[in-house]
Amino acid sequence: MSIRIRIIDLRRTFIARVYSRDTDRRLRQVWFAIHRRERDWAVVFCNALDLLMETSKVDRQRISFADGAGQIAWQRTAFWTIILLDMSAFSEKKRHLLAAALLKSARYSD
Amino acid sequence: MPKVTESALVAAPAEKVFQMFVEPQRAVMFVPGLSRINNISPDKRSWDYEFNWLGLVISGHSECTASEAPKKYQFKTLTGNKSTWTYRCEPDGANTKLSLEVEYEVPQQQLARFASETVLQKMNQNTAREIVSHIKTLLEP
Repeated sequence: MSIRIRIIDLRRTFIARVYSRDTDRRLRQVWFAIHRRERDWAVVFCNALDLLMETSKVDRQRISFADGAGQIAWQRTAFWTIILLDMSAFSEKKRHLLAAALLKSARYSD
Repeated sequence: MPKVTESALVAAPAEKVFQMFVEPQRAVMFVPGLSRINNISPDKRSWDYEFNWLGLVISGHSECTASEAPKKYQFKTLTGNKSTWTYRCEPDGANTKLSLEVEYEVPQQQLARFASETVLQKMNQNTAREIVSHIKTLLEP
């Protein structure tokens, strides 16, 4: 097997961060996702949180983690989704890293 | 082969630090640019990887060559630029000294693109530093 290079990643979900507010204690972000097929966001984010060693709890279109100090909620249609991320736990550095890892999972997981 | 090394003291037991490496998919969470890990073998000793650098997707294959819990985890990228990645965890009281060593081949064709081996070494050193820093951040409160 040799290395393969592609210019366009067709499996990637387009997601833009449309709002971000960061204070000493809290990080809030809103993402806008466009997708060609419906995505099971509960599976995407639960898998990501599991890899991040965070225990998560799903309640319909909302996931809580970090003993409730972290929340991911979404409003979904067939082709686009608005995702809200809210974290009031951890260090500022860790909040940023978790947000980046969750965004990466949303973009690239199948 | 050139190599880069990076280390940090992590406020977590070695067993917990080692858990970061044994699940290949977890690397996506802390390796910059790594977007996917696919086709993981049932024994988790081999997998395919995809890097995404500014929209350019580079994929290849890796194999684990050593998994000695909780001390040493090593894997090799077998396609493209061959490299050997070695994570070591040394207990230090309640903490763990985590080190990452990456040995890599430098193909001359690529070297021309990066202008000098020094620039490539600096890029790899920065990446190793980011990886170790990310693992530390994820494992600490």
